[in-house]
Amino acid sequence: MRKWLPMLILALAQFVMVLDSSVMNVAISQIVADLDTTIQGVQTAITLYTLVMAAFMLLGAKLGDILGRNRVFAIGLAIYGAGSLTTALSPNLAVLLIGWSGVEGLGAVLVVPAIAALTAATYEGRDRALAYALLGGIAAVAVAAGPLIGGWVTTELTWRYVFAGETVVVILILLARGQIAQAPVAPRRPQLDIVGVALSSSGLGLIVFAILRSSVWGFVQPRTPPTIGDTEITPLGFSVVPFMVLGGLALLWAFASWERRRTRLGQDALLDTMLLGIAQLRAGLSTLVGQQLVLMGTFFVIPVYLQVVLGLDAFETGKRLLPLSVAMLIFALLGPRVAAKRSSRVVARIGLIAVSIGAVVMLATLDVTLHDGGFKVALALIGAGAGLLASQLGNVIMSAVAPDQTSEAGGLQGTAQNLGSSLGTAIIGAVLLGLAGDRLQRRHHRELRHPGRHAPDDRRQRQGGH
Amino acid sequence: MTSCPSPPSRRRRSRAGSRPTRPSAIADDYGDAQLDALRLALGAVALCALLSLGVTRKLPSTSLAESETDEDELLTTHPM
Repeated sequence: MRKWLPMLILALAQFVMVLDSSVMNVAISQIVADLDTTIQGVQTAITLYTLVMAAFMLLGAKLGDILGRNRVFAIGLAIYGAGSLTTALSPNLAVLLIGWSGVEGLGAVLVVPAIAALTAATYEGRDRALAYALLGGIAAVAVAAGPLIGGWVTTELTWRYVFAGETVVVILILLARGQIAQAPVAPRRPQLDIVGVALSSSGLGLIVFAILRSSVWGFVQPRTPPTIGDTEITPLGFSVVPFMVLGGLALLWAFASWERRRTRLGQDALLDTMLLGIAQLRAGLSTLVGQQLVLMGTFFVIPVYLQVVLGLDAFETGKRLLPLSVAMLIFALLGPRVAAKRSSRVVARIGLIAVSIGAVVMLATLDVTLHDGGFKVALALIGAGAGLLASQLGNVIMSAVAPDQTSEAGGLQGTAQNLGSSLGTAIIGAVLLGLAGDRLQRRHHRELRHPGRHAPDDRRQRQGGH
Repeated sequence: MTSCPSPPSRRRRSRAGSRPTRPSAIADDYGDAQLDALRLALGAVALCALLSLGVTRKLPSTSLAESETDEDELLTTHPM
């Protein structure tokens, strides 16, 4: 048991980091009322938090190499705790933006890569595989538990208690962090590559910002384009989003060229671009993007169905999602046992297929009334698949690199998670929101061409009198 | 998203002898459209999961037990 105490401490830090975001989504309406602001204001805070994480994750990882991973873990937690306390006490939107989006975001970019690197430093072999499986499972459970915990606290008490509670948890982790093994410190402290930080953060920030705004501005065709004064920004008649993505890719290309140049000249680089030549690391990161895309897309759709179509509140939604959370945790812990006999590739593929089947089963059960059995089966399948995926990729990524590169790999892992989550919400959100409008318009055009063919009373009778 | 019929549309429907659109009909239409969109979104999730299979090719294809055996053999034949 003592062997796993460091893992429990790191898993608790992981849980807090992930829970934070999912609670904020659930508590939007109460925060709007409390801070006398608008939904757009709170959504701006959510967008900024994601942007800070996306832009500075590589910097956070590098600071782990410069200052030492244990020290950066502690500093990051302290900053995160200060941000949580500020958020809990915020009297208005401006303070929320500073506390949550800014300070907590910066704390998170230090902590997230450090968790991955410290796990690699503490455990080897099968223990390491199990440790990353636990981390992956805890993160996935935190996404599903967010509505339950956040919904209950927001409904019964106030959203502020969530962030105050996080502050207490952070203090406890800081007090217990001595249980975590000391990660090896580099014999020479590397220098920080400021130009690399500027190029990578602006490139990644631009891409993620474009993805986050795509549901409003349009992916390719402009929907509600941004304006400067009264002028809509629609270059060549298209949405501004693809141009921002191209601009971000150009900045990342410049970043990669700059890093290769620095390495050639024997200077310290923000990211050793040779890492991306490691096939296992690339595969792990790509699969992680896919995993997050699918999971965040699922967690976007299911609450819309439960809350908008069925009319459940956040707490009830969280309760309905319990089969998914339980399945995720069980299969995240089972994943390493399967991988011990088969392989990570087989486990990851089984996971993706299970998620796909679960999504199809859920698609077939969706209706104006909840088909409880089918819905639970679908949730269990999706949860099992997500748990299997989450159990493998952390170990695959971190085991692909040398021990002195685990901090950089941790930064790449955090960046891939962020990118996948943003893509998942944006793509699946665009399918959902865009199609709802298109379908409605087509129904009305059909009504005009064939009036009275599908009267509402007939429709209700077809649905079994609901 | 509004669905106010234009005067020509209203005249076309009344000439055809159809019932005027009621608010409940609009609500039903919107509910059906939401369900359709949710189903398509879940279909997109399923498709993305299947497409992600393509990037798993270079994930480790040996089990943990096999890789540990290989490491032990390496240490035995090439001790540090």
